[in-house]
Amino acid sequence: MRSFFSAIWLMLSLKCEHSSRFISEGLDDDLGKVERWAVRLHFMTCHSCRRFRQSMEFLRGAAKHTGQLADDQLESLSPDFQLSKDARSRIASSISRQDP
Amino acid sequence: MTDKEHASERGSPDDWLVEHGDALFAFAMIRVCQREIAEDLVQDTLVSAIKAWAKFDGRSAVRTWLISILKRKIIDHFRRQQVRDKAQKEQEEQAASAEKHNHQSFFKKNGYWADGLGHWNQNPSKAVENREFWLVFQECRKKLPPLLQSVFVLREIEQLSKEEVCSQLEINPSNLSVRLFRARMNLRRCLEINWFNRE
Repeated sequence: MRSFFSAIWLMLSLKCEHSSRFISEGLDDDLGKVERWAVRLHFMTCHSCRRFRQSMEFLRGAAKHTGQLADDQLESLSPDFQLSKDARSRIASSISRQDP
Repeated sequence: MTDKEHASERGSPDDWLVEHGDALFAFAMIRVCQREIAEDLVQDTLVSAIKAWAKFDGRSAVRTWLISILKRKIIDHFRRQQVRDKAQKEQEEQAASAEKHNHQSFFKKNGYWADGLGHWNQNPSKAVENREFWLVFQECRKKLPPLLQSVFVLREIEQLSKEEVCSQLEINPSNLSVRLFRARMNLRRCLEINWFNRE
C-alpha cells in the first residue's frame, strides 16, 4: 500500500516513461486506483500519452483480428503461407513411418 | 456407425496432409513467423495426431482437432525456446542491454517521449485486411526477439488471459508485464516508422 504522500506524488509527477508502463499494464489487468488516477491526470496534459493509448488499442485490435482471419482472407493476404513441395514430401514421409 | 464408416469420415492421415496441411501451416506461420519452424510444427502435429487417432472421438471436425493439437505444439515450442538455459540467459542479457538502449531511445532523459507519436485513427480490422499493412505488420512481428514474440502471440493473438500466459510459459506476472510492454513498444515504433509515418 502506498502512503498518502507517495500516492499524491505519483499522481503529480508521473512521466511518460512510467505512464506508458501503466497504460500497457492496464491492458492486462486492472490498475490500482492511484495508478489509474495518475494516468488520467497525466492524460490531461500529455497529448503523446493519449496517442500512445490509442496506438495500444489499435495494436490490440489488429492482433486480435489477425488471429481471426478466415482461410480465404489469409490466402489472399499471404499466398505464400503454403507448404513448399519439399516440406510436404518430408512431412508425408515422416507420417508414413508412423502408419501402423 | 461401423468402424469403417467412422474411419472414412475421419479420413486417413495421408489425406490430412493434403486437406489440412496448408491451413495448419498458415495457422503456425501467423504465430511463429518462420517457415522452418512452422513446417516442423505441422509435422509434429500430424505425427501426434496419428498416434492419438484412436482416441479422437469425432465429436469435433478433424480440422478443429488438428488445430487444437497444433496450438499445444506452438506453446511447447515457445516454452522450449525460453528454457534453452545458457542461450536464454545470454538472450535475456542481450535483450536487457538492447532494452536499456531502446528505452533510452524511446524516452528522453527527463522521462518524456523522445519522438512524436502519430495519430493512429485507422480501423485495426480494416488495416489488417489491407495487404500492404498486413505485410508491414508481419515484418514487424517477425523482428521481435523470441521472448517477446511468444508473450505477444499468446496474449494478443490467442487472446489468453494474463494468468493463462504465465502458466503456459511458466513465467511470473511481473516478467510477463515487462515482456509485453517491450513487445508493444517495439511493435508500436516499427508500425509508426513503416506504416503510419511512411513517406
